[in-house]
Formats: sequence, structure tokens, C-alpha cells
Amino acid sequence: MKKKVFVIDNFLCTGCRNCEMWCSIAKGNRDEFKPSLATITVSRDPEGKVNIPTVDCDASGCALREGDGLPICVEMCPTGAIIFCDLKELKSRRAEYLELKKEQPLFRLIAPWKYPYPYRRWSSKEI
Amino acid sequence: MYGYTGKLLRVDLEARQARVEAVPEDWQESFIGCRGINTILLYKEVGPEVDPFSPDNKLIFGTGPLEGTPIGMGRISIQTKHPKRFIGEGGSGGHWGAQLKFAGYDYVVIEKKADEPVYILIDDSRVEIRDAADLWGKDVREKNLILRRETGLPVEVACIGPGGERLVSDAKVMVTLDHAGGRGCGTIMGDKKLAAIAVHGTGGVKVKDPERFLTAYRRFRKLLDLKDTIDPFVPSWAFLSANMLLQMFSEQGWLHAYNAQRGSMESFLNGEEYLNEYVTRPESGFCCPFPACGRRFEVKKGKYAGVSGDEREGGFSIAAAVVGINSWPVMLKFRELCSLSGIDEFMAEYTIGWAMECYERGIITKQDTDGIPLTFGNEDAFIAMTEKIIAREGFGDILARGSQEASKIIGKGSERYLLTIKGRELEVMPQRNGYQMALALAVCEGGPDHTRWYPPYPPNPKSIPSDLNLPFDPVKAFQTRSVEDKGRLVKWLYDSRAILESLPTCVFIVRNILGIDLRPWLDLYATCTGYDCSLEAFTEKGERIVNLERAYIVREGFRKEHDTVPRRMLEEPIPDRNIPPMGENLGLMVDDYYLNRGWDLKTGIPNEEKLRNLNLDFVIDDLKSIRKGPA
Repeated sequence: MKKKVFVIDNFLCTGCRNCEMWCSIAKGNRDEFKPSLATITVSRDPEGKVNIPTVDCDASGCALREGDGLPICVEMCPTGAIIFCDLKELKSRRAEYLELKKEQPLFRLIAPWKYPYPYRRWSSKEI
Repeated sequence: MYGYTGKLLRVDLEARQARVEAVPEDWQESFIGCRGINTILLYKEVGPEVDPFSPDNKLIFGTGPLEGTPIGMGRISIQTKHPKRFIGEGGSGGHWGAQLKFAGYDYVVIEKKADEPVYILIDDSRVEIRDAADLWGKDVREKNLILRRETGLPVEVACIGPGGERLVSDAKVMVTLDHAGGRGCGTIMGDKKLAAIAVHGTGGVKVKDPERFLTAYRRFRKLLDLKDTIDPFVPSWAFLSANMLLQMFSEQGWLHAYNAQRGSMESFLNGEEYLNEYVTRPESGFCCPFPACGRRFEVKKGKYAGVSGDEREGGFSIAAAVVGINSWPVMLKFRELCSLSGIDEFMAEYTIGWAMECYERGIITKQDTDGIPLTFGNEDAFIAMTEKIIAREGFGDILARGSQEASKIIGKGSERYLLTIKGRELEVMPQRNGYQMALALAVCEGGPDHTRWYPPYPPNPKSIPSDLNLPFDPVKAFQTRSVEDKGRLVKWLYDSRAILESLPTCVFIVRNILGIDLRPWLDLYATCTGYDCSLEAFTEKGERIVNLERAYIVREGFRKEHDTVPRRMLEEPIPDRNIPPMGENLGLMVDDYYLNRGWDLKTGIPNEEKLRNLNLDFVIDDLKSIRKGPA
């Protein structure tokens, strides 16, 4: 199996700290939401310009995973800012994302792997 | 203890002392937390004899059992006796509430007044009341920067801006930069000379049954899943939040255009234009499950280039119709002004909208307005007047008192054009063509406040589970122009939202079935705190909170005649939509509501039997003398 790495897109990070909270359960005492026990953290800018997420983890100690084995931080991230995959996939995903972001303003707010339908709107008939 | 920390921090600003108290456990069981326990604290500690601007008024910041878990979403309830004497309550998101929990407190009660500006630093068990001379007069962004530098900690800040310091009517407390809560609480905070509360916590929040909590949380997230939800509101709210309503309000004629003289504007702001041109990236409160309920905006070109900030639940853009403006850069400049100075957008928009109508009708002239031509749609005049309100300069000083007080100063029949309920300016919610909203606004215990019963739209009928026993008919009750079944609907909306705000959780995520089915919430509450109860008992907690709030405002002198909507809504049609005024329909619905509530039909005072059933016996004695007195 190829080595998988974590990468977080700063500009997709909403600073919500969902990842941090669930990580603290998965890696910590299992019954306590305690940010200091998490291995992923989000530093929030006091001016609100950008959030700086950092991660020091290879997911080996993560006790909570979805069906397909992704760590819980990836599952809980609302925008898909956290990517956990091997280098080859990472490269192609990011390159594709850069292109899509130029075409679709909605992808400034969410990653296409989290929500691939930039055209859906509340008034559209398909939903 | 699971969920709760069980601790209350009481800060005396006059003596500059802080002490920690235990929160009674039976309160937690009866009132859950957050808004619920804030209400009982306010009821017990701030009686009818207390003047809102006296040192005896208190300012309460509350979190609840689920705060600090991903369900809490940073929500807090800020509560005080509002300058207009009703319950000054408002929820706010951000990250402050979660930090307070991590520092080990459920509530902070601020007492007395400081003689010089101060701020409070809460760093786990260390609580200091510090001098705030260098903070006073600074805007919200500067306050945040100074506090981080001065404390050397990554503190989260709840502060007031220059608007609150100058006691502008309905000023807000600004939480984590651009989240805001408690219209009017910022004014009281300014009166107490409390510039900010900075919090840093390193603790955690324990969960009773983490595995079941995770299962319940996953189910909750599934309901808000963007990819396969059947509720059309979910994806659009997730990216546009209230800006998705711009199109809906425009099409339905729900706008209060030109101070509610019309229901629509020829061309109006568009949510998609906003998303494409001005949004740079998503920005959320604590653990928000939506990708972009909050957004960072930047104006890159034109007169207002350089304007930036965060925006969420963008009601201010819908209220642009009140002043007849349809330009995004102007509204974003306005938003920046309001969030840096901590004044309330609705108060500013409706007050200026009212002044514009008075100006166009000749009640006030250029001489009154310091030479500013206050006509509808005049963008420069709107921004200039907002700046004057913040600075309390010239005519701005009159408007800064709120439209009702301003109309008393101006006179000449100007009160006829007021859009206020219980003395406070409306928000964007329609009345003449949204009867459930009219009723809900009229009977609100905290002045017009849509967050206490939001959303008033039904979910996709296909998503309503067949085993759900709703206390109202979901088809009839949500019809916007009939009086049928409105009492039961609005009662249910109030009770259920009181529970959500007491858990607490964000009232704007109640999409899909989360707005009409309380079972997912009960599941989360029970697995987190270990307080298990039946659905009926859970719903009753919400009813108890609303009844206590009603008892509070009854004690302050509010009666049935105050449960009404602005005169314009009752007497004037919406000409461009051919929609008649509400007339007697409102009274019919209020009676229906009181009847379902078990409140007196003549006065709106909760009946003894109802209070006894809800275990609110201590309220019965308080209301006895009021009941006997002249109604």
C-alpha cells in the first residue's frame, strides 16, 4: 500500500474545528471533546483573514474511521479541505481543483470531491 | 458531570471581584441550559423594580450542556433587561462559547457597573478584571488584535464596539469578530463600561455515551448532507445562507421595500452575484456543519474597494429594500461599518428607512438632517447617516436612540410610519403576506426576533416521517395568507426553538426534518448529558422556558395590547402585490395562540393552572397581584 499523507487547503478551511473536536475523541480519552488532545489544530487569525490548520498525524492512531477507512477528521470536514491520500492522487486532485475553481466560483467554498454539483440551486427542478 | 461544567462565574465590576458558584442541578433538568437557565437567572435576579440602566441590571452570558461538543456550534445566549424593558436576549455563534466551556464555566453573570472601562480575562481558573483604557473607543477588529497581543494568549473575544460604548440603541455584543448577539445587550454592556470578555480555555467537555453520541451525530449530519438531501433549502442555505432568500423575498413580495410601502423593488440584490463577485472563502463558527453559512467578502474595485469582513445569515442585505438600495458594495460597506462598531444592522436600516419616509413626506427637511438629502435609494446619504449614528453626531444622535424615541422628538405625526413592535425595529420578516410570521413577531417576548421561531417555511413534504405526530397540520399551518392553525404552529415553533437554543445549537441549521422533528435532538441531548426523558417531557421543557419568559415581561407590564404588529401592516395594503392589510386577522390569531398556550385571552397572562402544570409554582405568587390589579 502506498503511503498516504494529510494536506489541508487553507482557503477551504472554515476554521470550524470539527476536525479538532472529533480527533480529540478518536485519539484522546474517547469520551471527552478536548482540543489539546487532538493532533490536528486550527489556528484562527485574530483579524479573520485566513485560518491556519496544521496536522501532525499519519492516521495510524485514529480509532474512529468511516466505512472506507478515512480518518474521522476527513469525514467531518464540511468543505473537504482535509485531503488524505497518496502522493500521486494528491497531485492530480489539486491540479484538477485549481482548474475547476477558475471555472466555478462555488468551488471557492467547497471542494468538488465533497459536492460535485456547482449548478444546483434552490430553485432548480432537479432537487 | 457530563455535558455541563455546573459552574457559574459571577463578576462584580464595581468591587472588581469574581467568584464561582454551582448551578442548581434541578435547573439543569427543568430548563436545560443556555437560554433556559439565563431566563431563570434573569427572572430571579433582575426584578421589575430594576431600571435597565441601573447598576442592578445584570448581563448574563450562557452556554449549555452541548456547547463545546460539535452540536453546540459556539452558540451562546446573551441576556439582560433590555432598555425597553422586555427580555433583551440574543444568541450568537462564533468560538467564544466553546472557549468558555473549555475554561470550565457554563455561565458568566456580570453585576454592577465599573467606574472606568474594564475588560475581563478568563484563562481557565484565572479570572482578572483589567483596565481597558487602551481598548475603549477602538473598533471591534482592533479590540481583538490588542487583546491577543496584551494577553499573549489565543483568546476568543466578546466585545462591544464604539456603538455600544456610546449607548446606541440596540447595540450588539460582537463575538469572535463578526458574529453578533443580543440586540440591546451591547448597549447595557457599554453602560456597565465593560469593553470585552476575553476567554482562553484548555479543558474539555465530557460526553456520557460517546459511541451513541457519534451515531446520533452522524445521523444528524446525514440529514444535512448536501449530495443527497431532498430538502432544497439545504444546499442553498449551505452556500448562501440568508442571501438565498433574496430571490424568494423578491418574488413573493415579502420585502419591506421603501419602509414597507411596497412589497418588491424593480431590481434587487442577487445572491449569486454576491457569491460570484465578492465572496473569497468560507468562514464558519465553531463546528458548523455547513461549508459556507458564513463567508468572507472583499470589495475589490470601485468606490468601496478595500471593504472586507465576514458575513453570515445576511439579513442585512434583505433589509436593503427598506432604504431602497440595491447595490452590493454599498451594503457590504454598511455591513463593515456595523460589525466594526457593533451597532445593529436592522436598527440602523429600519430607523434610516423611517427617517427617509419622513423626509420624503416633508416631516423633516434638510435642516433637520444636517444637509443630507435622506431620500430612498440615496446610497451616499445612507452610508453618511449610518456613520453619524455610530458617532452620535447631529441628526445621527437622534436616530441613535432608535426610531420610536426619535419619533417622540420629531413628532408631527412621524410615529405613523414607524415599523416597530414593543418599541424595537422590525427585522426583515413579512407580515401582511406571511401570517405565521406576523403572529410570531407579535407575540415575541424579546421584541421582534425571528431567531426564536425560525424557519417559518415547511420542509419538503416527502421528508416528513409518517410516524411523526405533529401538533399542527403542516399544509394548513404554513399557508401564508390564512389564519387557520397558526396558534398551534407558532406555539410549537416557539417551544421547539427554545429547546434548541437551550441545548444550545444553531437555530439556522434546522433544515430538513430537524425543524419539525425533535427526536434527533433528544437523542443528542440524552447521549451527551445522560438526562434521558420522553419526547413529551423534552417538549415541555421548551414550553416551560417560554412561559417563564412571558411571566417576566408580564411582570414588566407587557400585556395583550403590546402583542401586535406595526400599524402599517394592519391598515395599509401592499399595492404592488394587491395584498390587503391584516386588519382583524392578527387579533384572531393572537387569541388562537393564547388559547393553545393556556394564557388569559384578555391580558395574555399565563393561567395559574398552566404554570402549575409546568412546575413554575414560584411564578404564580408573583403574578397573583398583577392579575388582581387593573388589567
